[in-house]
Amino acid sequence: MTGSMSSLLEVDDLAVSFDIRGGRLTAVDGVSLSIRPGETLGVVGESGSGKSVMAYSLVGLLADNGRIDRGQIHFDGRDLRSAPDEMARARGAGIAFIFQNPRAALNPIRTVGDQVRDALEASRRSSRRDSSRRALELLEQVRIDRAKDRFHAFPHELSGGMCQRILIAMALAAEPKLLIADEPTTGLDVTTQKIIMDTLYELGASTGLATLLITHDVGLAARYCRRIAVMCDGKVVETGSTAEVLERSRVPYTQRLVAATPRSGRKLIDLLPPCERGPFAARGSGCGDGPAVTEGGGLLLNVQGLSKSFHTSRAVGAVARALRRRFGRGGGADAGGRPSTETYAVRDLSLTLKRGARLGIVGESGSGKTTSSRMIARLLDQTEGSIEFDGADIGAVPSAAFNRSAMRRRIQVVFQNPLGSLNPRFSAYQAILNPLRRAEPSISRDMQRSRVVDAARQAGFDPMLLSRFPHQLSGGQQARVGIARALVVKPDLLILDEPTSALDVSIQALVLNQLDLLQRELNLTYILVSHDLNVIRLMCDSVLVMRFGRVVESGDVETIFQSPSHPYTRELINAVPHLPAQIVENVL
Amino acid sequence: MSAELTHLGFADRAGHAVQAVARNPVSAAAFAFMPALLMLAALAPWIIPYDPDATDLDHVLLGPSALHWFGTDQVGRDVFSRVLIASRLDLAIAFAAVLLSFLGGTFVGGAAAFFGGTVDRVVGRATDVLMTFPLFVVAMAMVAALGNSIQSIVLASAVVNLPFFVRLARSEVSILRVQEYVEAARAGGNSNLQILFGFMIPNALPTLTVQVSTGLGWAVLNAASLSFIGLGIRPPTAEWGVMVAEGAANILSGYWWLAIFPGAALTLTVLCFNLLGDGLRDIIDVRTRR
Repeated sequence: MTGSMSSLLEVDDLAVSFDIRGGRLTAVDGVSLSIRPGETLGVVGESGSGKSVMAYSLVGLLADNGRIDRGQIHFDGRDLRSAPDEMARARGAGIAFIFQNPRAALNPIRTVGDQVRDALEASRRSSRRDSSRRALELLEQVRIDRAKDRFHAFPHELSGGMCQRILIAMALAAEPKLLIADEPTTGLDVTTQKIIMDTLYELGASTGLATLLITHDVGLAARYCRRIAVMCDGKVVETGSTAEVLERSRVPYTQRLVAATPRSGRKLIDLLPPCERGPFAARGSGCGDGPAVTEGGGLLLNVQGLSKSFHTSRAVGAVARALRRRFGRGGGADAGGRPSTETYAVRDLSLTLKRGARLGIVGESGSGKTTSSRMIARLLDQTEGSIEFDGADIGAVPSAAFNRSAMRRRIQVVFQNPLGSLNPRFSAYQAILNPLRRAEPSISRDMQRSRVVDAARQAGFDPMLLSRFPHQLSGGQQARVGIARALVVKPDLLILDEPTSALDVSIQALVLNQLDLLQRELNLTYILVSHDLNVIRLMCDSVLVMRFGRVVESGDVETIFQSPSHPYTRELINAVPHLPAQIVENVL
Repeated sequence: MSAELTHLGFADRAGHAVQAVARNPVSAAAFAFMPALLMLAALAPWIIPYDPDATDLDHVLLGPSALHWFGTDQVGRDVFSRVLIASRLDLAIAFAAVLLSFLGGTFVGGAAAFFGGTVDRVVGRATDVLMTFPLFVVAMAMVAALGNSIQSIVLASAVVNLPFFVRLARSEVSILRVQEYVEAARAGGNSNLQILFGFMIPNALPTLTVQVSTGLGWAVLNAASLSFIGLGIRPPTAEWGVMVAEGAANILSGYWWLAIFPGAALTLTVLCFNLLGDGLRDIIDVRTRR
């Protein structure tokens, strides 16, 4: 028996590879790590670092074409590689797993209570008779409010965060000693993320459950883990206490990863390693420190009383009203007690923007931030309200007509999903050229070519790559094509819809710097829509905080970060797992 | 990771195609047989040993032999030559019909999904109504009404194939409609038709190709069936359905080769198109599943 007696899980020199066409791909290459009982170990790394594959291989959940090439896995005194069924046994009893998409992991046609009972009965921890009682206890243990009512709910009736807590309850049914959480909160709102992570943390403290937290978010790992392992290209490049790894690392990859994670007190340029700052540093002293100097820019955009409502059928309307009453969300739609069948996605949004201004709109899913940006971009018609752009009343033009008008080119959008927003059948060149041809159909081919190349350069996209198709480009390059496509028609207002949320932090750092540089060079005006307060803080001068379709607070970015006046803003700021300026030993 | 895999390069796709076909020997056979079939049809006038329409009353109802591979019929025509020449007509009808229903169905179904509202409702109900009839009966009625000609068979086959293309194009485009690149195209100032033809239909093509292959099989069968019951193509033209109909009368007299060989050619062709469709579907499924 190897492995020190004090550790619960001991992994030594683990290597995993996959059969792919034309050979084998090594995904995990000599990983060693250990977890003690009750400890939370964070495994951080960017996409493709092998962190998830490593975790799946520990419990025998590899895809058919994957296999463990070498290495030792000892869990709770047993050698998991000694017999074929050891891993399955450990999976049933000692190790539990929770996944990224909680709703997909639940059976949609059974109540969540029954599913927790199934887990209990499968683990033979409870007889049929007392499994209901025990299941209810578990739901309470994972902090589900009104657990008795929720017991009989179906997964689609619960929020994503609630579903993840149900999964945690199911994982706890077998009384595991180790929980492997693979990106458990990715895709959930920050306030929900905080509740889930706090629940996991408390469970660790109260039951001695050890957690292997796999995440791309250094901030999240820093907040909840005492020790962190950093993975890159299938290897663990560094393991140590959180403070050691994040503050005093000598490993270049770790330094880069930590630097690229936005944190308070850092400037935009600090996100990049010194060797990559060159093109962005040349822009002078003004870079990234607070508001850009806008030399008395004239009024560009004036939005007044913008609302978007959706007509719903009477039945749906009745349910929505009941929900509003139940959760106390003031939709305001049933003023005067008259039954209304309207649901508001955005209600009474007003804002003004000067030329060269950088506005952030922040909010969680369902807050109406994307709907607002689509209305301002004239991709969606508003129900009420006016939009005045550079003196023209564009709000009066229906979106279908606006798309074909000469004003179209002046407001451009950079979309959220770099790959999804590019036509798979267009090369990068065609993608950038398309809006130019629509905006200026009469320009010559040579002119087209030089405009496309110029836009690509401005967006930091290598013109040599213009003949490539989207799937042949990396995520960062795809994002730049999206930016170049918006720039090629020389817009006055750019709407950036979560432009970096799909990117790894190191790529995000480059793209954000590129956008910042562009803004200064071209004196662009932009509206940045994001759920990420850290990004807003780095990129914007002023911010609107939205919730349930309404603006709850607006103002200067630093003021709102330093002294938020609305409780929701405070909650939001607290929930964001940003790296503190200084990391102290023993977080939390 | 999955996003990367759903958009594979051409080399990867070709690799996947080879793998998918290799995994399924039956569709591999179809992939191999299809070019041979098309080649035979194209070169038939130069391959055939006898004039397919020349009668030879000295050599009637001869069994298969080295001289007449598939035997001769009741007026001494060489069955092998007739089967080969008939492939041209049957395939031409099928290709023309499927091309028509593919173009029409893609446009109508795509537009229905894209514009929604009234257009969608009208198209949807019209498709439903068409599909409530047994499709072969619709084809029969059309040929009977339009007259016995190749054109009316093509048109009838196109109409009965149309609803499948409409429905498929409609479902594909309604999936593509919510893609972010379509919204990006709107922001780039593209008109509705430019979006439909530049962004949506090209991306729906892989799935539609599968339907084209299956539709070809149906169209061949449809044309032959119509001729078999005496609609559309009439004797003495060499056509599989006509030949099977003529031969069926003689099968009890022991002259089995008259019906069996054109029947086998028909079966093999339809089977081949269907298996090809299955094979193509496997390739496309692999792309989306993994």
